Amino acid sequence: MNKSTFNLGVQFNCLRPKIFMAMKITTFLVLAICMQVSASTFGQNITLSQKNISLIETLNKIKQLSGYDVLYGDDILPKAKNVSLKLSNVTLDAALEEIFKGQDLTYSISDKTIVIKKKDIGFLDRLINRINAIEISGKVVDEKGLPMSNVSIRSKSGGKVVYSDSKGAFAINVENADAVLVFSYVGYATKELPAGKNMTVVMQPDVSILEQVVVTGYTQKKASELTGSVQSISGETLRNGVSTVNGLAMLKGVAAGLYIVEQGGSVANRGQVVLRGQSSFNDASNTNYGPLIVIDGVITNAANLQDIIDPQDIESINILRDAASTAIYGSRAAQGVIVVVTKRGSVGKTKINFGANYGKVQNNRNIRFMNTSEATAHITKYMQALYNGTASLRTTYPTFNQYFNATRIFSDADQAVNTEWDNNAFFTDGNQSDINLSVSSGTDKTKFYTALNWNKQDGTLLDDGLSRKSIRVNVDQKITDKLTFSLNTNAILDNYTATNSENQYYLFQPWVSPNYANGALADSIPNYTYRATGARLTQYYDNPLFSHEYNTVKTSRLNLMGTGILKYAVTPWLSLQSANSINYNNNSVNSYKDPRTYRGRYDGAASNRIFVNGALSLNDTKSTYFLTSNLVNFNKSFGDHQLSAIIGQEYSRTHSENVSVSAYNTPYPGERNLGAFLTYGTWINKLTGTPAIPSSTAPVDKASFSVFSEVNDSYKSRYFASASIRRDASTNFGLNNRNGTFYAVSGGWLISGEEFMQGAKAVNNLKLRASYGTSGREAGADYLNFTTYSDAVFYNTTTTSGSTINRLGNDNITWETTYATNLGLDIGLFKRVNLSIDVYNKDSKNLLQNVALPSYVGFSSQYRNVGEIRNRGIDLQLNTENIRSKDFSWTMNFNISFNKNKLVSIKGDSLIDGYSGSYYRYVGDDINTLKAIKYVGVNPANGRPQFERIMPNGQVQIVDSIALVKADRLRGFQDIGSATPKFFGGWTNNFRYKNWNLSLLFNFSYGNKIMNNAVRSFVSPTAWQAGFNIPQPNSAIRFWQGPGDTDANYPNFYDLAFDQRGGININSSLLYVDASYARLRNVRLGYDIPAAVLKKIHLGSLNIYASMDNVFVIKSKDLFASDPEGATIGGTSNAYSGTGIASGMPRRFVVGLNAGF
Amino acid sequence: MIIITSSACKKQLDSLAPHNVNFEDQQFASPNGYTKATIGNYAGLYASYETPWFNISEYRGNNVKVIDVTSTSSAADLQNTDAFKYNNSESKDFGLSDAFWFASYKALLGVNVVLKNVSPTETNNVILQAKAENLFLRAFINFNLLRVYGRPYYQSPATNPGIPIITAPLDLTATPPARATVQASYDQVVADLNQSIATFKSKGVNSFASKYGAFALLSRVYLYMSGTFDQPNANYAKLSAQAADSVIVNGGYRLLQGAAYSNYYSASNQLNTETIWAINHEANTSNLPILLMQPQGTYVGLYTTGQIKPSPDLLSKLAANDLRKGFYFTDLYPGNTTDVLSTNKYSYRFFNGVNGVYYSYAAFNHLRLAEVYLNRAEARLKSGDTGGALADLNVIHTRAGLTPLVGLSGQALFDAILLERRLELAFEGHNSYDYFRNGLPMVRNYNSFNSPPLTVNPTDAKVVMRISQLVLTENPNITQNQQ
Repeated sequence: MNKSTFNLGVQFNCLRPKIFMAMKITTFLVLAICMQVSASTFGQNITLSQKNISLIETLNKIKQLSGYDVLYGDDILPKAKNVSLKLSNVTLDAALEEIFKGQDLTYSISDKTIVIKKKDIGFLDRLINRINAIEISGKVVDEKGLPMSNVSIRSKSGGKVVYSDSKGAFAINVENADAVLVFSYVGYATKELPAGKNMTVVMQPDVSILEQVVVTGYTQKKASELTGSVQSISGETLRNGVSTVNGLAMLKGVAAGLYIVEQGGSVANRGQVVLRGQSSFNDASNTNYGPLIVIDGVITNAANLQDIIDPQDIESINILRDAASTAIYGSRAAQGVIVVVTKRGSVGKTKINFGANYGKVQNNRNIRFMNTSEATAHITKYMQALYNGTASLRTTYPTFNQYFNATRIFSDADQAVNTEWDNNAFFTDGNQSDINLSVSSGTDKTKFYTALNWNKQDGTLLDDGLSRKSIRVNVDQKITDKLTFSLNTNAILDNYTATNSENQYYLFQPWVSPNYANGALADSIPNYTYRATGARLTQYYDNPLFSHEYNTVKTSRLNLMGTGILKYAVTPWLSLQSANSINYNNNSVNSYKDPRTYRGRYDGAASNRIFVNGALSLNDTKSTYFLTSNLVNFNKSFGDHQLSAIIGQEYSRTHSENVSVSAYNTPYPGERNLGAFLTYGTWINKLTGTPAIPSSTAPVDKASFSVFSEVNDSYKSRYFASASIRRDASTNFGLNNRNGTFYAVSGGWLISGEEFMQGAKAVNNLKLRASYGTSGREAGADYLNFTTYSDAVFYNTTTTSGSTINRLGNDNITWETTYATNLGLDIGLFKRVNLSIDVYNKDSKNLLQNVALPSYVGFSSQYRNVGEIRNRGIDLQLNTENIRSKDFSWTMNFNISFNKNKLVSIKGDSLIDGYSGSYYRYVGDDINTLKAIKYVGVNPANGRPQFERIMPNGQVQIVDSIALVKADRLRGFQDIGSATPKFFGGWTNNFRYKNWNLSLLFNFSYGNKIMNNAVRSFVSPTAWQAGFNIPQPNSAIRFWQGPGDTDANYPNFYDLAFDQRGGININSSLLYVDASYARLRNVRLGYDIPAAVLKKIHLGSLNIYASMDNVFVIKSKDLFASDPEGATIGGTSNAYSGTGIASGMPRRFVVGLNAGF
Repeated sequence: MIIITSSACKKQLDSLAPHNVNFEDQQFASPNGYTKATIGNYAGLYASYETPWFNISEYRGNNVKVIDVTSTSSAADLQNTDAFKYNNSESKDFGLSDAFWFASYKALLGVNVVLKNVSPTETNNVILQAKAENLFLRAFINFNLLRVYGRPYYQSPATNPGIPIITAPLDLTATPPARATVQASYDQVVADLNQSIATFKSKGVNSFASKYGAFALLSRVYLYMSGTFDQPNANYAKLSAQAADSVIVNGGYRLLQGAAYSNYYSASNQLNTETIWAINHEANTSNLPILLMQPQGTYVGLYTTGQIKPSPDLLSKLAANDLRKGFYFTDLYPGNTTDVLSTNKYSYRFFNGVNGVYYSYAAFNHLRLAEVYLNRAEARLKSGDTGGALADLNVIHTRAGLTPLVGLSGQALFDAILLERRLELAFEGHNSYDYFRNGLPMVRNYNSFNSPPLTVNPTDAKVVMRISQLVLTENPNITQNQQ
């Protein structure tokens, strides 16, 4: 019966559920408005006699006798005095008078209902209370027994609010010894306890999460009020996962509906994210399929979290997945919205937090290249096959040995050398460290949060590293009671380093030593290629082990963001707000090759090295972004309606420009500035004799103007409705279609708030949500509506420029619009289990596709709104508290997302696969459908690959060469799956035993196919002829060994026609393997130093921990790649290859501490 | 208030414009703008036009042999060999017909926009020169379309479909144009050439169109109209010979001789006295070496270029002392011991780009004096001037270091002229058309990769390419070449 946590306004309970059910809602409504009605008109006669019976029971009898309903606040009756009385045939009024004599309560009667409430305390009583006040003191601790500061404490009957100090101690004056104290703290369940002497109050984290405030951008709601599909993730949860500066990587496995792919171990890899399925076509001008990023209410231009926010500053991340939440963001929100809330100061003593960690980053590849004995054995075996199978060789060389010795690409001496180039020179291990300090404090007037973070992290590629320095200052200043000013500032300076030495790792043969004979590190490395006509051919490449210290690309990225927000409360229910934000971003690339290295001296193809004597290339991009966002906020209750509304207007403007220049020939080795170089241009200019032209892409100006509004109604805290509309105008669109309107309607029903649910004790939350609405995707290409000429070509001489039509205007170009329906169900059981299920349908229409214009118009192609894609799926989140006890607890979070994607409409009814260019996707297919010629295994008798060839009559023939099937063109291609996973998700377990904490985060992806690029490009029997080493086959690749080999899955590697038969041709289904995986993404063990120890060392809190990322991965045994991390989907090249032979997801071991002062 | 800010902001939005571009009216506000737009139109005949044009024209002949299908992309393989195998794909992806058609009409749009902006009463010489050059380019573009999509002129030109004739920019609201007949299409080409001849004001280097360039092209167009050897159209043959006369007598071009001739393709076109018009590549690399050359490089096996080698048939026709043997050089393809020669006609300032892809700055010689002599030889023969024909043939024959031909006439002389054309103009985009326009079959007497010997008769439906399916979808008035 106690369900107060669901109610926002006046809390009423009724005597019995079934009685309440009989009450009509209209009755209740009237009641709520006119509570005080005279009772004198009621004349029923009551006869009742009893002794020391509880008030509840007494009223129950009155109800039966009078037929009146009884309504009361939930915390009132249990504490009422028992009733003894003797009534005979009195009026209801008289009876009630008697019943309430001496009670602290009063009653009123209205429309056949008796409403009971507390007596108002008179002035005199208050004065007496004040005089009688007693001081209660105590201590507040969290579930781990650590002191909690800033917990608010008040007496239930009113009075001053106090806060606990840094040791958790508090002292409060209450009116009498019976007072009830209310303890509350964000994220923790509010506790009510009778006042006592030296109280120790243990706060528990709020499992119900219903009271949690979720910021949805312009507005914030309690979780219980949400009508859309929103997931809120605390910054702490994120930081308890993988150790990185990439917020997106932290979301992987935690956020439902977000398919996140990180390829390889470079720190520059920011990852790709697709929310609820790919809903756009490939578009060279806009490769950002990720959600719109909003930081503290400000829409940003950022494409990824890493560049715009430091994870240390994140208070929470809220992911808006459906139109109910995203429509208010209009034309840019079709891919969802990620709302980041940064940390702020709070009232109380100054809090200082210090965190530091240090660790190792370890390369973690599942494959390796051949060593000397493997490589030479393979080459010898292949040469034997080649000799046996080539008549001309047998003519030239009478014996195999003669042939072998004359043409082999390794000498006898070479075989004594074994260099593991890949893991030692290219995929190296590294370190990482992170130091962060934050100070926050607040008074009634001023609150601030400041933070410094210094992070250094290496990737698992040679010289790959990031050094980040970030500062944030968030200030909230109350100027008057009505006027507040907030300032959020953030500076992030990232310095990325990467190598620009030789990166073609397959060109490094294991029998080649990195050192000269005298032991010194060589600056260049020979590579040997095969010639059937004689001795091996030698060409030289840069030695990365020597040059990597000199030759690097340094990218310096500065992001400054400042937002000032002025808020004016006109009345308690009406406020005005103006947020003005400036974002400056400078990306500066300095690519330097030192003349002391081979690669720095020479550039160009190996067969034709050009002497350049050092080279430098600079590229500088800067952009400014300004946004003004002005809101009117309205929030007022009308009876049982809690109505809130916003009306807003925004204007944004972006300007970006870029310049790049190259130079070579330097007399000052080590100087990486332009002034140190003597000649402009690159080796190509030297080779071809063309003059160097510094380039600067045309500056881009964009602007958009929007008006929007949202209305929310919460009725009786059980029924929620929300509607929003936004109208955007943008320079990105045609003059005839400049305005786009987006809208959403949604509703929620908190079923568990209904009276009829009160008997179902197990169900503490049950809620239905439904939404429908639209949101847009702005294509990146700008000013598509103008026909323009540009002087972009040269003809006849390199200085004679000509003008060409560079764009044919399309005045009708407009937004891509996604129409999304979402149905959600939230279930909370036993206050321990919370389940959210969201089912969605997204129809994305007017998708921009670069399509050919009619040829008679004469311009080859133009972006037109033609396509349509449908995504359907289910997102499921489950949070449980499996064990809750004093010393031990176990909580679990699980999420899984299913998505199905379908092409509904395409220009010309089909899309060619952009990567292989060999098959079409048709209407009805998944946009990432993969098709190939079906490989059906090895013929055990002769080791040849077998393919299915579909004859025109539909019969299937088995043939042993892919060329025979390819000749049939499209007919031979069969569906073999999709690069889109069927489902993906994550599973987190948190265990606490006393002061120990252990968390395990798994993530998984199932059902996506990946093109095995590692095999296609590198596992070729003849690659050695071109001087390439190949990856060593493992159990995933079992080449046919001889007649009768039925275990083999790959054809005979020593078949001279291996390539022609095409077992590993890009069109062979053998290459497309299951990329499903499950990964232990992070494991973390922490220990909280006990309070007793903390006291001695004068610390508020201290947690020490050890954490490990990407511990292990379970994958398909057929997959031959350094990592199963899947294909990025939706890329412009449609390159759905995975991580191939390069670095896998790095394993990181980190130890660290977090201290609070 | 919102309405007021809204309209203010609309002005803000409208005031923004893209940078570093000119709008059409700005472009044609000065004579220099016409010149620049015209220069841009030549650049429209760079790789995106040139590569499909070269592929379709050369791969359909018997001067080439495909040695490999080596690309990692099926689409590239199918594109490259589509014309070679006479598959004539109508898919936008599996052949180069679509690319050629769209590149042609894109180039034509640039031409028509310039012409649209020239007033009929224009007197400025710079603008008139731009007009003349664009008229020439329109004729050139349309004529190449006709060679690919229109059946040979000797076959019912009044009824066979030619090309849609577009002489002004069309927008999406225009009635989609249908194909004119072959005859009407040729008439438009001839009319444009004649108008351009009358409009030229000056002569630049041979990278630009000129009056005698227009005459040279006119001689070729009339030659294509001049019927077969058995059933010649003497009238068109005479017109062809007359146009050729103008070039030879008044054009001021000279044939290169001896060593200069041997170096023809390893020098810039601009100072070349034999070249009448070439698409110059000094400022833009040519992609053709990717198709033609395979220098012994590093990336053998994974990155292969140069799948087109001179055919054994072509090489066998070159006499031992033929200077033109010098246009082929040893170009080893590892593992290939039979087809070791490549043409060097596109190797001027050849270089090895990144990742084993090869480029050069070689010009594409569209018109040169040698062709005009051979045009006149054939035209004279068809109009009955055997002596003149033989004389013209010998000008080219002896220039190649060979002894003069004597006593030839009739079919033998005709065969000799066509053979000379084949040898002289190899890899310059003439080979297959020279058979079909004369009612002769294209015969390949050699195996070529996965294609057996092949004979294509001039009446075969496959003589003309299929039009891209995309064109047909967009324009219901276009009829397909049935096959």
